[in-house]
Amino acid sequence: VPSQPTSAPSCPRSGVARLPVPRLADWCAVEVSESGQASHELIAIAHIVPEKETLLKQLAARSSEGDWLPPAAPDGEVRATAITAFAKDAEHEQLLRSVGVASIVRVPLVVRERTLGVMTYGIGSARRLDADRRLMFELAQHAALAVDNARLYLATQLALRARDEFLSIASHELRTPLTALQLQLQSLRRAMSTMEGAWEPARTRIESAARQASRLAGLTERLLDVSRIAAGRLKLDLEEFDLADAVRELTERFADEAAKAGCKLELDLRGPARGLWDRLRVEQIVSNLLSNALKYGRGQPIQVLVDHDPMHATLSVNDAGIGIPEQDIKRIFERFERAVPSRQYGGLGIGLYVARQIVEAHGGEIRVESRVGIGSRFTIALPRQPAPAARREET
Amino acid sequence: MKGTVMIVEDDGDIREALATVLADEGMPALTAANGQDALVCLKTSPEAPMLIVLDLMMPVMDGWQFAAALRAQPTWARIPIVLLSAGEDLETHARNLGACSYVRKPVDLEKLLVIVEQCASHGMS
Repeated sequence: VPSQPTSAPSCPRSGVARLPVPRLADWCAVEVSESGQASHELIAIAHIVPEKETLLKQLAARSSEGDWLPPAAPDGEVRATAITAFAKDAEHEQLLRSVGVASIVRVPLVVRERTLGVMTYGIGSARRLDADRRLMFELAQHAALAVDNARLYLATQLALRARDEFLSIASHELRTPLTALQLQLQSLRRAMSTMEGAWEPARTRIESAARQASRLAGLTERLLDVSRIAAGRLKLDLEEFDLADAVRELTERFADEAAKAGCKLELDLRGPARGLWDRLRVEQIVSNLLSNALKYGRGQPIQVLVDHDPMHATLSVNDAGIGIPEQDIKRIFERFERAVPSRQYGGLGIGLYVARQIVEAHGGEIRVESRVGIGSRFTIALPRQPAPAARREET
Repeated sequence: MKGTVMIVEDDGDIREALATVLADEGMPALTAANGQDALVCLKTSPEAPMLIVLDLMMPVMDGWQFAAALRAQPTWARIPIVLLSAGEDLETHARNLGACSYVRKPVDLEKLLVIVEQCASHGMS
């Protein structure tokens, strides 16, 4: 009993092999090879008699390396003596004749100067194939492009998955030593604060080190957010609170940073704007918008407005900074995108992406109006009652 | 009154940092790298700790298995547990394990100390 070809499950009677059957040939087989490897894998077959497709597979499986078909003359003809000479035994010869190998044309699949495999056209009766050759070559060219595209697509998907996995692992790995570092710094800071006559330069340095560690921790958390989102694991812990209160508190925390940037924070908080949201996540969005406004605000005043209607609470952060060119506006909410050169402005390019994901998880929306050289206004609108999709998932 | 705290955490740096910090606050720490070590440590300690700070994801014996083993022993069943983890859904895990509270990594020391004091006094009352 001939062994079953190992590639059988991945060998559908696919479109590309069916195209030339029956007009150009009685059967067609498409094989591809990994670069630098002699063995071919059958990826598509078609036979004018569908039952004989199994025979084709068996034939190909008989020789895992090298040719599985007898040599043909330049015009495609395979002499009966050549079939007999090629066959390993009587059963093999029977298989060859049953499939039909009187004429064979093999066309290499070439793309970007690389041979990806071969497309074989076979005919059971001796017939001259010259007239059809051009079509056969053209079809093979299309097949080659399709194979190449499929491979490139697969490679891209694998690379993206590898990137997401790497992000997830890297951010988890970073978080562990950071936790230990932060604990030590916080404990030092605590000890210093209660110590009479503590050495002042040490105190300020510890403060600064703790601030930097906390910045690192923030960046690590944002990277983790990206992998959470990619894996669909962004979850909301809903609680009722007042957005105006939360924004007031946050802007107080930003006082130092605002002073450094030379930006005045002007608040117009029309609260209470209560709703059911994830407090930490909403604070994360507001922080992101505030730090962006400070970063790109060119030292001009920044207006922060909270307002509400019966259905929504809204927050606008309005700066008079560098602004965003129109062609970049869509892009800035995408992952790893940024509208400014990374050499001039730091950042990972994920803040607004994460912000949009959080807002949308709440069933809300985020938008921006901006003009280059005039400034930007980012607005988020959150429904006060969660959308069904925002309900907390228990796992 | 302050007593001993047990820290069950597989990362050595975090474990040591926590032990130092708690010792500074007058709470000497027993440390273990996983649930199994912690059970051995509990058996050999003259006195049960007033509180256990427990990581969830650990090799050999994880936090869930350890908590179950702890609850099955009448002498230890009432020791309060504070979960310490970088994982998701800590609130749910804390509820399911009967932990008295939880702290997310990266740890905010001030928060951790408040929680430890609260849970310890709660456990003793």
